[in-house]
Amino acid sequence: MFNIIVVADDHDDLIGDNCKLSYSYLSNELAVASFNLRLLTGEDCKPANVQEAIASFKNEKFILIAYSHGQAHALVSTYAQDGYVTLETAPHFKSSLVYTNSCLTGLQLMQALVQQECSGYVGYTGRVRVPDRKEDELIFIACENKGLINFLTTDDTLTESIEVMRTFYKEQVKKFSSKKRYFLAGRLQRNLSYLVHYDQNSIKRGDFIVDFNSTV
Amino acid sequence: MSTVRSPYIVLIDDDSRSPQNEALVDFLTSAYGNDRVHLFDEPDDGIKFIKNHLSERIIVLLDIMFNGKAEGFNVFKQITNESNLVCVIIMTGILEYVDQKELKELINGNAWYLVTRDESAREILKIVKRADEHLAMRVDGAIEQWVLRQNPEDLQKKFIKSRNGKSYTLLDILRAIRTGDDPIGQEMVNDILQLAITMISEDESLIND
Repeated sequence: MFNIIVVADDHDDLIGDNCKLSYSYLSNELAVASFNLRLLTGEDCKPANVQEAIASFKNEKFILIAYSHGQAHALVSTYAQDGYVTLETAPHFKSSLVYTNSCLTGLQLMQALVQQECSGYVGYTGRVRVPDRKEDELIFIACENKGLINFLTTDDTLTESIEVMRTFYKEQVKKFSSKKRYFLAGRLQRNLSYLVHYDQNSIKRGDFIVDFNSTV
Repeated sequence: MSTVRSPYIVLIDDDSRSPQNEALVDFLTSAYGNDRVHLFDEPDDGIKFIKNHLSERIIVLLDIMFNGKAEGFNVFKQITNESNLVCVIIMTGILEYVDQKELKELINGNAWYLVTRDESAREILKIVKRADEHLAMRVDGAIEQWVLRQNPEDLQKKFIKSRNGKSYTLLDILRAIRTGDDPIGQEMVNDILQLAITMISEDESLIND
């Protein structure tokens, strides 16, 4: 079983629906019921709740999945404008994997997490933009989640999973282009160009499996 | 297949029908047609015409001196405030008499060409043709054309949103492309160029099999 925190800022005026769709996509693709899952939405997207969720894992490894706004130095939400994961709280993420589709956190937050010996990080160094039309939005969301889903459902390392993700992105860019939808193709390609990851030691999903019989 | 229309050629000069301009206007109308060449003695009328035709490619020939005053600098600013996609060719008398500060503003404000009034009509036509080629190759101009082809209702709808807090309609994008007041315009231009580069670099068509 995996310890997983999902932060989905579904109350955000602009991207709330997108955050909701992202989580809904993830739960359709993965058997989330089998996870030790702490889902934080709406008013719960606050640093105290993230800290409380981490504490509940009792020093076991965990994965934080973040669907929200992002700044260079922090993951932010409607109810945590200063951030629910910040440079200051980075030490709590030692040995964890942080996976986000938020803007910009690949610039500073990633470095802080790496310095604090997190096991892995996946995110973006630029402004991640998504189309407003739902069916197009879902393709962008599928790209953004591909690496995580591959990581949790195969024995690929995080780096190998991100390669699968990059290939998937490129396939979708080609599909949009072949339909002469060049703006979306160009935008998706730009999002891909912002994608960065850190893989401390060729981590695999097995590194995050927690034996609850031994911890309870 | 759609045909590409000629650009509008807009001459703004307080004496646009002067003998000095006669040969130039003849050359321009021969090259682009009577309906595409428009002359304005009053700067405000010229600016109004440009505002009403921003959906098309426009090349402006703008005189600097109006009734003894260097009003052309102000006209230039008003045009570029509306859109950077309008190609402005500045026509002036003796270059040494042009105020250096205002000359700097013209260059920094992306005036496309500076031509002295004693240049022949044939030479000015060549410059206009180069401006036409320049406009035809601009990606931002092509994006502008694409946006303007969309259904007017769709222009008002959200088109793209960002996970750090901003959404854009196609009209917002159009404004950003024309004025450069938001990076989204330049981003979209760069996206299309990058996509074209990727597609060309991955092109597997063979010249000889």
